[in-house]
Amino acid sequence: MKLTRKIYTTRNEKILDFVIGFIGWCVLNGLMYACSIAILSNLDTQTDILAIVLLALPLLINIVALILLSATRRWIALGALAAFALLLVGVLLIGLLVYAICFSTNTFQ
Amino acid sequence: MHPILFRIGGLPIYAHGFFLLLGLLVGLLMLIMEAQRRRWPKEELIPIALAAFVGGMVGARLSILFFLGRSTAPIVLNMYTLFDPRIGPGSILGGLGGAYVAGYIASRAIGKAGCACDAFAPAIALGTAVGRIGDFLAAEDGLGKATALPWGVPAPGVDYLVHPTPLYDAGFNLIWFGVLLLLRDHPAMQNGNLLKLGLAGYALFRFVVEFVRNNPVVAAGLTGPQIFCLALLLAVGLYFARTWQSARRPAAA
Repeated sequence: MKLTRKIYTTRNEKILDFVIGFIGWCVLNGLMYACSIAILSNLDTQTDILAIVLLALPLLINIVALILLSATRRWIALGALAAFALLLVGVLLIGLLVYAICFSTNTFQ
Repeated sequence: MHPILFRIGGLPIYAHGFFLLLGLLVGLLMLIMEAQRRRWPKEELIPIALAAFVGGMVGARLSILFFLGRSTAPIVLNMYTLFDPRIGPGSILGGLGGAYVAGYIASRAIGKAGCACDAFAPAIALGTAVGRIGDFLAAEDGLGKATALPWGVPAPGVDYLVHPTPLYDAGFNLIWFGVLLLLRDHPAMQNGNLLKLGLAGYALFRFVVEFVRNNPVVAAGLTGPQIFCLALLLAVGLYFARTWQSARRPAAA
């Protein structure tokens, strides 16, 4: 499959793709989050391999989609990245007020 | 230790979150200043920095699976736990790896000629130095192994003194930041070489300091971060060997 890169000629094209990426990322991940909650509530994520694969699927889809979009419609990729980053910044800000448990050898025992 | 740094109107401000955010902001400020100095246009800086930030956060979390084992999979592989502020971001080493890969992909996607990524090198060192203060105040991962050295510090849950490893990290990164600033205009430290040197320097330091940290041994008496550091040092070593070999060839011919 040959990937062709979109050539942006106007500023409006870039803005439109950016908005598509931003909103599309929020909608897609909102749906995937809802699905993962619904499906994984019946599975044991500690022992069930299928559950772990399903658990990892949204991250995999996000990474692959971002890489493919960066090679074809990079303003959509940028919009999606901006949405991702904005949410992470929000979490960092909330992190000021919340006691965070760091990963350590004892965290999962 | 002081997990709560101060209070604003009764609301606790946690040291870990405060210094993590401050470290990222200081690093971002340093990156912007360095990018301006290098005349790196914002049309290139923004997508690469954005990708590096997201890639860094994802990499920091994913690397935990390798460093701490399969029991972490339900949290680490679930992307949506990245948005849970009650869970720490993960490992700085994984963060650096993720940021590098994502930044590289972004730079290729925008068709950037050459590499301006050296602007990241001092920013990473300074940001890490600041962020590690929060790890110390929050006594992250029990700080370090027991020590009788005069600078040993008490840690929660143990009745002996331990190595203040986050402070070792902060001290090293502050010095390393100065070294990278001194080297940033050296002709041999351009086109990505300063960043690679910066990462290799930290990997070497981290390999040594891991001996007094509390991470579990994964293989051959080494912890996951130590194996990661060795792989990184090998990759950077091979890169520099190949670069210097090809640079010498035309002169010899």
